[in-house]
Amino acid sequence: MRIVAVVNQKGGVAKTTTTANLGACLAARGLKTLLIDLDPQANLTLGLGIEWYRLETALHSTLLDAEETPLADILHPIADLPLYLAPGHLDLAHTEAVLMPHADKAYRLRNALEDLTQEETFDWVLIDCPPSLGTLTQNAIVASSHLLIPTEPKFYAFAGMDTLNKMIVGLTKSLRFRVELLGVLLTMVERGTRLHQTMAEEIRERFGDKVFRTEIYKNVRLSESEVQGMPIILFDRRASGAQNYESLAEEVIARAN
Amino acid sequence: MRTDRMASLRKRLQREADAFEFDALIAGVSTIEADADQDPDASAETPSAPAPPAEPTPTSGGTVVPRDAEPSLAQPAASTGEARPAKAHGERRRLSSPWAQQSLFQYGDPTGDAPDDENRAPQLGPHVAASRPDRRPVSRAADREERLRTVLDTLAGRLLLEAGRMRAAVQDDDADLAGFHLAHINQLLDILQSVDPAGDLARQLGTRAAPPPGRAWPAAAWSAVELAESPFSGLLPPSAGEEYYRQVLRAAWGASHPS
Repeated sequence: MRIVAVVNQKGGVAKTTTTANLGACLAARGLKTLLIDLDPQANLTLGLGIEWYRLETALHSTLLDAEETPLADILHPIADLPLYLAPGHLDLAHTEAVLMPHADKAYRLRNALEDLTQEETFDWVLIDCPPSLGTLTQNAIVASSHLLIPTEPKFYAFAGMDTLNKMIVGLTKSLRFRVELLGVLLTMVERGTRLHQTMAEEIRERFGDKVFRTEIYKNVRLSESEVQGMPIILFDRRASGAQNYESLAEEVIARAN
Repeated sequence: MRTDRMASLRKRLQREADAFEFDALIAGVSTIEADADQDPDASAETPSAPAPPAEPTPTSGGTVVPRDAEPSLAQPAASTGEARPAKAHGERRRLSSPWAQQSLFQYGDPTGDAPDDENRAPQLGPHVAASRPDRRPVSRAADREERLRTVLDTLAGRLLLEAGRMRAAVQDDDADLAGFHLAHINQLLDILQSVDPAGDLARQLGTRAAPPPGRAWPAAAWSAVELAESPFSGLLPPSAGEEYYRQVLRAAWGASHPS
């Protein structure tokens, strides 16, 4: 089982879009996939057609007390794919504050996943992280085997990744975990923009083959699919966004093997 | 002209990039394998409990994670005197904090009634629980507003608490402790920005410490420039110089921690 945190503390870099659509593409290949919405904004949950504010239990319930609400109890199947969602909830923000003084605050998700996988096997777990470096993101990193970092090809991308890098090294001093970079994903790429080309080249030079060959182009159909509450491959399979994520799924599978 | 601008931009980018170390991201990190080597019973694949802070640890790729190479956002349990969590295989832990349990009570069942089995998601197979999203409304709009209010009140209350602690640390001339609390302030600001970016919700709901009209929540301050621009810099001594700022920030990043 591969557990991938889709992480970047910068907002608006297509973490949620990537989690939803990569997950759907993996599931469409018959790979049983679990999506975890760790963002208090719960956009992944809404984007997959589930109204978090109507849920009695969601991920915050599991993080607060996994015995009372095991992860298995909050999973929702998505479409007719082997795709499941652990929904996010606004109360995750409250949960983060509640967990702050706890010694095991960064291990809640990992322990919940361990409990789940004793009973249920998933091929892939994708975690949509909040745009911050707080306790929830630490939970994601500690629980993950791999990191996927979506980033726009923009100037401040380096600074953001440097900050993330420092956080990960810092975590190694106090927490017990192992994580590898699955890849840096260039998102929201404007093909005709010289600036984006230059930035993309620089990021590729710095991270080498850790940057996915696939780039996710700006595509309005991706936004439309979120409004419709379904992954792009179910909304418009011919859209460039769908093709990009299909290609990314192939690359992700190849890298993980 | 256009080419010059691109060249200048590329040069600037390279200069910025050269200042950064991406080793952990590129090579990956592990604090697990060394522990497994020391303890033959430990599982390297599925560690069940965190270990004490690691010595410089070789990874599978031969990468060494230097002990003090970079600062940490994490609150180190050893340095704060907190017990590290231990979790036996298959064992589930319970919350120990009365605060957390009280919160669970408030959030788990706002009506105070016993849990209703009918409201639980239906079972799908023996292990995965839900077959369809449970779309049954569990609260009215007022309840949703109350939840938002509680979230924002909790976060703002915690923010004020951490700010007070930071101020006390500064008054005690303890820059390390001040940085430690600054890290918590930053984490809380990150969450507040995520939930209520413009501060409108907090103002509408009358949250304590809501930003004044027209202002958003302050941004987290992880660099000297950001800290200087942050209203929380007002907690630092007026005479604080660059070195003091650096010391606070180093502590915020976990380079040093209060004992």
